[in-house]
Amino acid sequence: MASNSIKGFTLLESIVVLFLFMTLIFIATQIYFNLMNSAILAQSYQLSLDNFRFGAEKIWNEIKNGSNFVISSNSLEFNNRRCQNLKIYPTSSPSSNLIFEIDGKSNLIFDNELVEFVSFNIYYDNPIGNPIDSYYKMANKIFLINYKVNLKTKITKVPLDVWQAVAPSNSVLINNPCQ
Amino acid sequence: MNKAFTLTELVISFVILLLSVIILVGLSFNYLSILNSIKLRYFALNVAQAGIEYALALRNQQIEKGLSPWAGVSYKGTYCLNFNTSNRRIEVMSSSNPCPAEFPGYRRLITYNDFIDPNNTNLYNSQAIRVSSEVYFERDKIKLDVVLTRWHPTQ
Repeated sequence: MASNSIKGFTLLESIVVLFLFMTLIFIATQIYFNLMNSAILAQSYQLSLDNFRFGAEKIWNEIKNGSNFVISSNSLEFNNRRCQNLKIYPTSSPSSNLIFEIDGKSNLIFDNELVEFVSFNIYYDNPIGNPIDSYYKMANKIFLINYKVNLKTKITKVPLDVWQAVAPSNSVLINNPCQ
Repeated sequence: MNKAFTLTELVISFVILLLSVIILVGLSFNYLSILNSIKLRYFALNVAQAGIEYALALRNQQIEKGLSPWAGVSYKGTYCLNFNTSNRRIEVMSSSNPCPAEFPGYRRLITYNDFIDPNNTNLYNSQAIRVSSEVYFERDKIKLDVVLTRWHPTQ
């Protein structure tokens, strides 16, 4: 009688429990990895987007306060608020990026680790004035800038196609602000 | 002596298990939806700002041509403003519905009002205009306002 009261698990019970346990561990691991990947993606995406925004806003601010614009489809040269010569143009070496050059000193706009630069295009209006007219007649009133970049996250690259419009403040002045 | 689980015990344990799984999955999706929301709002802000910039540029262009600063938008109401990259002009169209903007899926509507007398419908000689740029995207909306005056160094 005493031996009958000792109860254990049958082999089938043990296998079923082990199988359920393994399945749960597998699901939990997948969820954990998904969660970690999402967190990493979110963090690096935020960093990349911030880096892009910082660069794009820098360009926006300089154009807003700039004057004497000389434009081609993908580069821009003008005077900034201190009447320094400023050039913005793409480069392909050592890697694709935008160059921000003030009085011959050049800096990269985007961090290569965070943002992969693809293209930069500028669209602008056609002022009616001639160079001999007052500044406000020959100054560009609007620029539309198109950036194509890839935001680098640790897991994937996220393409970004951003349009920015800017109306320079100095385009209403009678005289050239940097004369 | 043989003991087994009751149905209630089983159901409760499964519900607890399921809840924990749902919470974890929800957390991971939450991260991604926040990301998407940041991107959508950043684009929307750019579209709204572009509307304000077009309004500013349009005022400056009309002055450049020797016209009233509000020529083309001289009646209180809503308009669509866009920059045509082919003919390089700011295009103005009176509209009560928002029009497609630079980013696919975003629509913008610009409202012109007299800032000093909001009941004034003819803005041609107004001294100051409130310009609102409203952007509609997904099921959301953002709005930026600016007050433009007639002030210009040439006037």
